[in-house]
Amino acid sequence: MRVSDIRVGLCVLALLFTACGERLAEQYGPNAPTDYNVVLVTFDGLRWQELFGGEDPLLSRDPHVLFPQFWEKIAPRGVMYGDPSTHGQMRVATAANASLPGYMSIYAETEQDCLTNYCPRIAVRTFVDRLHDELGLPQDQLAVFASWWKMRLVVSARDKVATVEAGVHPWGTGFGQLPRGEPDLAYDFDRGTVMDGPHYLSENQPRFLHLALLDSDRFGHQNNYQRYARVLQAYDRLLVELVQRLDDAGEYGRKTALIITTDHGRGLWDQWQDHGPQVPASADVWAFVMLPPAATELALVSPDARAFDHHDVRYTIETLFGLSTRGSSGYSTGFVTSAHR
Amino acid sequence: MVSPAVLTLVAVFAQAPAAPEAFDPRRLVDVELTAFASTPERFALCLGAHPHRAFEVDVCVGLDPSQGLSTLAAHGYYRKRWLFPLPGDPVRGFTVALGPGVGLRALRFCPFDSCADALGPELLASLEAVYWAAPGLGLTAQLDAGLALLWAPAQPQRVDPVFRFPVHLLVGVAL
Repeated sequence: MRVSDIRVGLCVLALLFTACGERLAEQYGPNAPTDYNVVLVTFDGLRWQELFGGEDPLLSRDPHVLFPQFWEKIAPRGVMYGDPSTHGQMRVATAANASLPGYMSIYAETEQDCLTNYCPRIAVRTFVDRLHDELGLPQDQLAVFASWWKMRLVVSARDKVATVEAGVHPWGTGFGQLPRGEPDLAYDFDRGTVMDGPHYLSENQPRFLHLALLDSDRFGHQNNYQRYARVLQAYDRLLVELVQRLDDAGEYGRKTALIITTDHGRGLWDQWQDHGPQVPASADVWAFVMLPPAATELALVSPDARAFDHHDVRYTIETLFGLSTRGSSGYSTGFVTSAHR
Repeated sequence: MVSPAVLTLVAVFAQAPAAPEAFDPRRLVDVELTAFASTPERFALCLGAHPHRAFEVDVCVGLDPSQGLSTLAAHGYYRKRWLFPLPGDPVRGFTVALGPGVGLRALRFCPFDSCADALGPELLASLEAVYWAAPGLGLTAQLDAGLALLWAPAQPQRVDPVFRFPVHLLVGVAL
């Protein structure tokens, strides 16, 4: 066989792979890029019971409200999805009711056949890939600070698409030699994330920032309701701090949306510590969306308009950035709709 | 490859008379306590009645004081029986029985001042062994395992399904 024959063969193979790849890849309509930014905050395994109702009287002798500042200062600025008292429905997108499948459902458009926390790295294009490839956003403008190291498996199939600090340094990485305050003692694995993430937000003003917090789930699995409740109170203070930073950030803050959600729920009563397919109640999740104050042309879908799931978080982020979601796997703009429809 | 021990066991059960014979003790009631129980109960007391040799109906009250959980469950079992009389002894021997059970379980969760109740059906597989030590007196060991599907109030006007996986070993007497 001559060398030229081998070359031709290789070219044909390359063409075939390219063609197959294009056929398998999601096809989207044209994008209409915006200058909006998104801050996504996820609290791992935070039950709707505690968010909407405070400490569970079945699990706490002296129940307290757990997110008083959030409900007073932040909730009125957005829309809450998955509130059972208003018949809002939001569920996980897989039957797994577990973390890695939940996060992959947020980052990917379709199910990843991931039903446990032991799945390999995501294999399809995530919305972060689209922000990088289609909008040309550089790595330092796409940041993920996560307390759980497995978030590295979720963000992208490729390295160097986003800045990902996941479960590396519980006490923070000291990003950019920023002065860091004393962390809230309620935190454990989240300490680095809550110290570095908000600073990165203020200093770098990234187009997309994801703070993925973990301690709520850890204390849940430890069956330590007291510490679980304490860290939720710390999350309440963190949310106020984040919104304050956005409010103080001028034009950047006016163009930044805030999305808060969880990867899965938890069980009822004594099963509150658990989640998974054997705990059906842990399929119920929730989300809060606050549009950029400057985005007067956008509005949010009514919470009781339909049943929502994790993929709506992705669609919402894509829509906010002006990425088309009119793909071959369906069409949704998530929680966002046009105010002028 | 089936192990010789399993083959021996199968042969023993195949040869064991399933039909009534000289050794076929009649029982009326069982009183049993848990030697082991999975959640949601740690301790349970069961009272069983045998309207027929193959049928049992029982009522169990269970408790897990550490979690404030209490249960009330009623079951009906149908078990196929095998008889193993002791050689040369017309009144002493073993009975082994295996079969399904269906039941209804009520669960109360009351750890502090507030309480909540759940209710639903359960399906069990039940294996029972009785050593008949004397006429009308047996020592029982009963292993049950299955699935309960309960409906529990998650908040006012909302009821969520809850799975429970009851497994318990009961020991007691048959009279």
